[in-house]
Amino acid sequence: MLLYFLPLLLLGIFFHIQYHRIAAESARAHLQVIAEHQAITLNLFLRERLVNLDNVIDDPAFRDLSGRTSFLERALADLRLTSDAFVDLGVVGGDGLLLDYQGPVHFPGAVNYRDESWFKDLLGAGRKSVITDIYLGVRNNPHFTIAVKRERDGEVSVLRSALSPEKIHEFLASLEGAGEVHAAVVNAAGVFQVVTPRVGLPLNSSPYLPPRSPLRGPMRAAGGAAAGECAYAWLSEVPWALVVQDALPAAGPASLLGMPRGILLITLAFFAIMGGVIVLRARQLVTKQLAAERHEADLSGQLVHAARLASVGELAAGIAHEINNPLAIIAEEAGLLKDSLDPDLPEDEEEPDLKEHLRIIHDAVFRCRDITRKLLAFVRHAEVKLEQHSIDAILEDVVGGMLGSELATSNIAVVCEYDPEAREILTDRNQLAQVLVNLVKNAIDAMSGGGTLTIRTAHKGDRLLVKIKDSGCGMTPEQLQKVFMPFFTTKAPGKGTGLGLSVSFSIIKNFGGNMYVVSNPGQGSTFTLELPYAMNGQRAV
Amino acid sequence: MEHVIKLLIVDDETQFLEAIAKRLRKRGLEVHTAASGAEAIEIAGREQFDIALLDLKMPGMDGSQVLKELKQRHKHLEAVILTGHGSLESAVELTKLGAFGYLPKPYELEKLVDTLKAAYEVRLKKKFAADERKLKEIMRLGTSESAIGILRRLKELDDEER
Repeated sequence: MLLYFLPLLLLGIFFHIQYHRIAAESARAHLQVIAEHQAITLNLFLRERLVNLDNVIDDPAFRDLSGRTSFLERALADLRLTSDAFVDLGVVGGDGLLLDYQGPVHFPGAVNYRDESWFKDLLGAGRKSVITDIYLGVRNNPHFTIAVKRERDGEVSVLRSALSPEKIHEFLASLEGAGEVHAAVVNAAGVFQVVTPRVGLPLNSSPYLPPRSPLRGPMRAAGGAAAGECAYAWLSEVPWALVVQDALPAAGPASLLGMPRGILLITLAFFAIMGGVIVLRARQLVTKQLAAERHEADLSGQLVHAARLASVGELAAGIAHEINNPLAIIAEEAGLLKDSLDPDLPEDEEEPDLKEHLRIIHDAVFRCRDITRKLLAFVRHAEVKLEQHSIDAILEDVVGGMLGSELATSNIAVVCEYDPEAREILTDRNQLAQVLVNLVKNAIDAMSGGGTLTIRTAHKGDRLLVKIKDSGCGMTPEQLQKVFMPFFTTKAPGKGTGLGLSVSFSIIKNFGGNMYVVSNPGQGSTFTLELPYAMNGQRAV
Repeated sequence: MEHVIKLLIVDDETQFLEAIAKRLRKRGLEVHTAASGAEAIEIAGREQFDIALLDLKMPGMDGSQVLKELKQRHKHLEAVILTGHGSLESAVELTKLGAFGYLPKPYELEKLVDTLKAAYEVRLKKKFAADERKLKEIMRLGTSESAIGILRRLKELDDEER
């Protein structure tokens, strides 16, 4: 059963792994697309804010120093209308001093940004704007600063604004809304800048450390429970990267249960149907095979029986003699008694001994009965019956009983050398007798001018050997080759069927034994039967 | 003159041999028995028989061998085969060997007696023919040979017959 399912199972696992690989591939691609698109959105957001500041700093009113404070106030209010991310506005001079400020913070003294790294960066040649990393600042609230710079008439002025990352936070939260992905913004050092509480805390170090190049692509989070497929995309305005990670735990490559339920069900159903079909088909085949075997056994049984009947035909001539002799005795004895009652014939010199004559008649009748009984026992299509039999008794039956007088009248001396150590064998008496009758009958035919028939039994391990040796005409190598073939006969047409030896061979094979012959022309033949003492699992027909 | 048929029966079944001998004797035949081929040849060497009644299947020498032997030694002896083992081929074979008739066992005694009588007639005819030949030989030799010469010649003819 397992054997039937194993290939299916392997196929299933193969497809499963394939499926997972493709699913992972598509998930990765999906993550990358999300990262890229959302990075663009973030870029747009930040650029928009920069443009907002640009508009303020480029406003002609900005240069009016006297009205700048009120201008800033108005500008901040306008900016907050555009985006409530703006927290405050401040004008910084080229020396880093905060010149004007609008916002929630009240600075106790003069503020100088001279030493701030963003300010230094911004003063660098070619820079017009800067965006800082997130910091906590005076209000202990995470925010970041964006600033734009203008140089007019050799004088540098900077407009800076603190921005709340709330917008980006909301944006990330909406991105995570479906629960499919985790998203976070990290800086170049891998520190969380904007992050939802699900993923981590701002300004804590993150498991994400995206490479600087290429600007976007897949990556793996470093270690921990967060390990898994990620995608990143660097923002263009600021050295931040948007990292997106698959929120679902990565499934083991061969976990069947990780499969979508539908596919799992379909697979199981497929397995069940295939299994059912295989089982049904196998059962059908087995039934057919059994039927064929039974049929073959029937045929084989019929062949054995046919061969037996054929050998009865060959035996018949001998049997007729066997029966006609006692019949002639009966006829003569009866005739004698009739004669003694016949007045036309001369009187007997002495009174006929009635008892003696009747005894002779009686004996002759039973001689006939014994012959017919033996013949019938031989022909009867009896069920195969495996029983313990002494080989000596069966051999004695054949050479002494059934073929005894034929051997005698054919001038064949029978020499029996039975191994006293031979044990009883488990066999079917009728079939074994059929084989032996066949072999002895062949031996008789081979010794037309008389001879010696030697029957020897020998004990050899778990087998019993029976050797039947004649001193007859022997066989040529060509005849030997075909001797066990059906319908091969050396006898004159009509004398032999050519079935005897082939059927004998199959009978002995069915017993789990073996049969072979050694023969040379003019030197007689020796047939050897190897019979197992016990048949293990062999089926006799 | 009433001739008595002198018969030798050869069969290995002694009960059968005794019974048939008795019955044929009752019918006026002179019957001798032999239980084997060798014995038959030995008896036939001692006495002259008209007919041999032979069984075919016997241990030792079988019927056809005995038939051959007897026919070789006794030219005018007729043989009838009596056997339980009968087939047309063996009948033809035996006729070629010189058997007069062939009866399968068991048989009707009357038929056997008829066969024996017929065989005896053939035997007589052959004997008459032989006697006639002797007579003619005597006539032929009558003037040219002495009495001793004629007797010697007749002895020769007798020997030829055997």
